[in-house]
Amino acid sequence: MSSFTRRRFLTGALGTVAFTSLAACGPSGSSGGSTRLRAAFAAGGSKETLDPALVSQFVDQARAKALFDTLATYAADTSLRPGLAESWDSDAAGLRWRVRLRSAQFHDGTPVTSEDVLYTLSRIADPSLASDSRQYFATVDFPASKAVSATELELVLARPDFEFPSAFAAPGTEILPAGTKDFTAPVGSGPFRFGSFRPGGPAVFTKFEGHWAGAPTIDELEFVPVDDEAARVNALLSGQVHYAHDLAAASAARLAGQDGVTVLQAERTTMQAVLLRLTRPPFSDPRLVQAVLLGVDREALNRIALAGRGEVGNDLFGKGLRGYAADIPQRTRDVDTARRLVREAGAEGLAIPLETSGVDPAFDSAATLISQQLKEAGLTVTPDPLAASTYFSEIKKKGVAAHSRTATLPVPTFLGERFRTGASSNLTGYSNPEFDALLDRAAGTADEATRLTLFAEAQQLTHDDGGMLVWGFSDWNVGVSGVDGVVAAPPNTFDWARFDHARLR
Amino acid sequence: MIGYPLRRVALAFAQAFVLLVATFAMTALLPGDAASAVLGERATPEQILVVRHQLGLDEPPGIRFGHWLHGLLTGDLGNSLITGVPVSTELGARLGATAVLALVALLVLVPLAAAVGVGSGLAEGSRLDRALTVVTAVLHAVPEFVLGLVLVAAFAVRARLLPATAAGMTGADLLAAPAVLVLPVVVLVARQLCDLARQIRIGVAEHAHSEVATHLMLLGLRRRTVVLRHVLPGAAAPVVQQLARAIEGLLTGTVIVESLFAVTGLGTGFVEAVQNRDVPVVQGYVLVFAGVVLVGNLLADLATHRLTPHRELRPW
Amino acid sequence: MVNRVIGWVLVAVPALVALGGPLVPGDISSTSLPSAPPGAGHPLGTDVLGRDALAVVLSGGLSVVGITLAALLLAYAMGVPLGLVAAGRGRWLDEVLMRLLDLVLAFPSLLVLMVLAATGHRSAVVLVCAVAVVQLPAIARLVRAAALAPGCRTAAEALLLQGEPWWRIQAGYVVRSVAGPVVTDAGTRLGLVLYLLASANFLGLGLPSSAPDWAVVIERNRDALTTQPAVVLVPAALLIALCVGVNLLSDKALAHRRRS
Repeated sequence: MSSFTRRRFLTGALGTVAFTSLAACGPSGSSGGSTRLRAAFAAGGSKETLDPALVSQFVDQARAKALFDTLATYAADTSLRPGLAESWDSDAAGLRWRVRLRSAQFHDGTPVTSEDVLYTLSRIADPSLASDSRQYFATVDFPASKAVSATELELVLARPDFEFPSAFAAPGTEILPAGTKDFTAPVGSGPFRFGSFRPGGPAVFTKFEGHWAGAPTIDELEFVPVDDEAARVNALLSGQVHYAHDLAAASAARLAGQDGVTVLQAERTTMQAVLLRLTRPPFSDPRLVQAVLLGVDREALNRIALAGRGEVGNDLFGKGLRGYAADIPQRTRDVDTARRLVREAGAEGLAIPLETSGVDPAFDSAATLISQQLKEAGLTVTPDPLAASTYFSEIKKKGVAAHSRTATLPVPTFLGERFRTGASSNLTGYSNPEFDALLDRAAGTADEATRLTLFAEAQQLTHDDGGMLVWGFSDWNVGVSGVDGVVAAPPNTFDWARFDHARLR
Repeated sequence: MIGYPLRRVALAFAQAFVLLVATFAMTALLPGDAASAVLGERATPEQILVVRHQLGLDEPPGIRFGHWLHGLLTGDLGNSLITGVPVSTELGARLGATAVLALVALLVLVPLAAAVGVGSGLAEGSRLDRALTVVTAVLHAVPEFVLGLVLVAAFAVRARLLPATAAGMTGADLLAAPAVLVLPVVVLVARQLCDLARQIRIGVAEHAHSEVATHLMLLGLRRRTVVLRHVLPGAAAPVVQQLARAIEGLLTGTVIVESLFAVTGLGTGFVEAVQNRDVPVVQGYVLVFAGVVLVGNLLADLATHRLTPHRELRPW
Repeated sequence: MVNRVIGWVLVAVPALVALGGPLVPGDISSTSLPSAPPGAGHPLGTDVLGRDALAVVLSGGLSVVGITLAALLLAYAMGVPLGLVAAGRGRWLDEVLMRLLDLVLAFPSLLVLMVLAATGHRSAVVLVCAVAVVQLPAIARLVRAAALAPGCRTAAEALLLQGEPWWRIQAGYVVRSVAGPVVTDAGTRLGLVLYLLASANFLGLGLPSSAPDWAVVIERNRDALTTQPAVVLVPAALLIALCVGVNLLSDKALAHRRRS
């Protein structure tokens, strides 16, 4: 495609027309012998780090995925597939887990060993690191765990957990060389090696010939930070980038007809939710939580905020995934009851700020609609826009109601990190000993069918009073242009942001 | 009687002082205070008291202003409430892109305005004059964000002639890829062109038809020499004043242009800090933006005084 | 002459839409699919929130024109008396007032709006007051200069010698002679304020993102510019027409005053 390699531009102001090659700013395609794929992601600003355990944004995860490997990965249905770990199994009690590693090497040529794995996992579990992923390894007894050989290790748990291997593929659990503390130019075992990076700025990685799954097909991978969704679409359309991550449903619909552009859609994979803070007024009053859950019109939200390309949610995570409690009846709109509850709580006309941001293309529209819908129930909801780059860390400490979204994760993993008392990502502040005990009982149950029934019971509890309004499931949209070998997949799964088999046209 | 330049500099200092006090007082406009902003809303009253003490918020305002001022003079603008990163670091990382954008725009604006202004001024009343006047007036009236959206749609998205964004690029990156600068600079210049060109046009027209100019031409001096030596310097004083306005306009314009083209500059950083109500960072941006405007006005007034010392200027 | 006709037309069309639009019955609730192309029931299509774009455009001009006019009225209501007082008898008062205004003049207008937004103050009322205050120094200065202009000054002194009370001279004669420059200035200032408010709303510093305000609508629908341009281009055209028209008319008025 000539428009990629060579573009004319006119310096309109002076009326002179100049012709120049834009190799410096446009995707260079295959010119000049080296291929660089440019991928646009929303970025996280000046506080970004390449420490995979501290990822908070999708761009962090995508970079971690390029530089590092995890022990296992999630397929689209959250089943596990091997990564650095070739296989794993446990004793009959689900307490001792053996993990066998494949033969792999870090970018500096040293082999990946069980010591590296133990170092990484204990680092994540260390509360002083304050990693969001520490929940996954919180029950591992590290002093009792040990390396059996260079390629085999044994992890000992404090209580039985048959879902434990899900942690091997969870976000933020990428394996580091033992002793890694500095992340300015990190060494990993992933398909790309570190080239350059500036927090909030672009990152350039180069291919790692020695990757265990084979060398990538592109020479270089550049992450271009573009926070604004409209700007990402424009960058894709103008040929500045090959890959534009996370597009709005409306943009996806519009781009679908344009030649040269393909929209990769991982359909209905992303939970769209509003988290209500149960620990603070007004939502410390359960009547108001119910009023919000009953007052919103989930159909209208899907039709408009997701441009009709969503699926209605039932205040539960993971529709369609293994373990999803599909039997719980759908919650439907009941404005009369909602209004009555608001009146009973003495909260008529109460002003409630709803945190929102451009970080997800659906948030702003959804916030406006929710505010209109809850007006009918007697609540005055005011959208409070926050900056995109720091949104997800801000809503941890700010506000009483916040838009949120979660892509694919195993349902049990999600329940543990979001609803367990005091868990690292428990934003609603849900605390229920019955729920915690149920999770423990489920995890310790060897029979999968029984286990999932128990997890379904736990979901019923969060459905009743967990404070999570799930209004829909949206597509995960990525726009690509001039590149093959990139497939549609939701974040957290193996195929998402996977560039090692990409080929530039 | 003190000389004008001295009085003008004194006024600039007074303005700077007001700016500092106003910027400092911004924290008082906040619903909560910095301590609750740092801790988040889940904090207990005891925690807030501790942090208030740590931050020195329990001291009288005068002392706090002193501390703040001292920090400012040593380059310490405090830390972002959101990221904890020093404000100076936050600003420093974004300064380059904005500086390049604004300076390139200025470098395009001045010669272009001069060409348009002199061209139409010398040919006052002609068809060229009227055409230029109308075109610049219309450009002036189109808000930057409308012009920008339309240009991106036409030249970047449809025609693919120019890049649509400058995301993630530093000042050096921008200079290395000048094509990225074309659309943002066009948008910035378009709005400022009218006022500056008009000022030049008026000055040139007045002086070109002045008795002095006519006389010099009669004496056999070439038209070019007359224009360069006499007409232009005579028109300079009001133009310098207008240039100061243009600098202010360019700064305001960069906020919008950066958000249109996703430039990682001071403008987008400012808007982001405003959204997050990150007061220390906002204070940093206010000081930078208002500081530049203040210095620009000061220099313009001093220059005007130099150019027309006989004119009694108000000390502003 | 032609320019003036064009100017009036450019101003009249958006002004009519802005002031008459809200009278046209239309539903601006989110009922349809978002960003739909023009078709049955939606002559301009729908916007990103699934609202009828025509209804949004019709109801979105009032905030643009309303806030602008309110801010200007407030600015002149404060600025004219201030300028007259400064031009009045007390030399000391004049100095103090003008120096204070000099200090305020140093700050860019958009900056003031951003600071207010950063501290959580954003609403139509805040916008009106803030915009009025930032226009104040220039207006007061202009009024003061007009009141101190030689012709006006001499006449006022003559009237004072004839025993007319000070306030009557100010209210009657001086105000009348100040009126000319103020009207011309208002034209230019209208353009400035329109631009300032539109920019602030575009940046999300002013009205909420659900407001049907033209600038907000342009921002919310900017993605749709290439595929469904009407939603962006119609409010944009109205906004531009208003700005260009106001500028053309005030230019004419300015030129007229300069000649006379």
